[in-house]
Amino acid sequence: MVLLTVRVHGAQCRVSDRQTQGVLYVDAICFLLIAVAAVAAVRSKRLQATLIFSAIAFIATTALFLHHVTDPLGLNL
Amino acid sequence: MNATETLEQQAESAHSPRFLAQLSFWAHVAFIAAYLGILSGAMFWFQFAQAELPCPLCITQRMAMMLVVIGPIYVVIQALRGTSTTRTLSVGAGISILGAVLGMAMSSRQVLLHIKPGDPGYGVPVLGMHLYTWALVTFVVVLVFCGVVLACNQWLVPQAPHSSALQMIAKIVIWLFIATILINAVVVFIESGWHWYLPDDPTEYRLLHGK
Repeated sequence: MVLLTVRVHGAQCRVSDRQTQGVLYVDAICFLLIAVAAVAAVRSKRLQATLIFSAIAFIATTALFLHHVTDPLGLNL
Repeated sequence: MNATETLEQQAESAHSPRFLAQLSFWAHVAFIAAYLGILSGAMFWFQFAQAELPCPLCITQRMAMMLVVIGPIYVVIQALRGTSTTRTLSVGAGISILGAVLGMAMSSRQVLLHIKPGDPGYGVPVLGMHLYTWALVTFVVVLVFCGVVLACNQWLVPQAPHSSALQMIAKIVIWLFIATILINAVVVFIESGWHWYLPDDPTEYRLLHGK
């Protein structure tokens, strides 16, 4: 979603200054991914399901943190 | 489940003294309950009662705490199903270690941002330390916990209590934790409004103010 926004608005756009109507908030998505991983750990009888959903949540959270730290896309948020 | 796995579980449970197996089960439930208390305290007391809005790094640390807890949730659920082995114990500890390392990176980052002498830090200190410093402490505790569990996993394969009432307590703690994750998702969305990210120093619930 971030990449799509960059492509549309250009690398220098300040997404946080805009009314990005209809775009879900990135942190809320991360929380939801973690919730899905937790539910998978509870409900699924397959270890693979727990690991896959946990991995997705880990990757999303790590990417969010790295973005906060390094701002690799130059969005200057 | 095949016969080999069943025999393996029987052999492992034979090595786990009943007292240690039950202690391990309740230690994992306490692990979940502790983070449930920390996250609920942060949200209901500091965020709602004290009107201290979390910054982006605080939010990511909450996420790391939730990721850490997926490990013990998995371990407790396997114990409740009666399928607990040293392997499930190790999987849970592994997930928790990965979450703790991620959380340590996040909380260390925030500690370093405010390490300069004279910097007041972010938010109100609790018992002399800020919440992000306490978060770092909890992640270190998780690493120690997982180290002990992995080193002694032969004797710590958890065993759920036979009482359905006691089992219900564990299930309630788990589902309360999942509810906490979902409440955080909603609250952080209200805090951010229709924006990609939170501001560095949030002062209002932007969705409520039409922003």
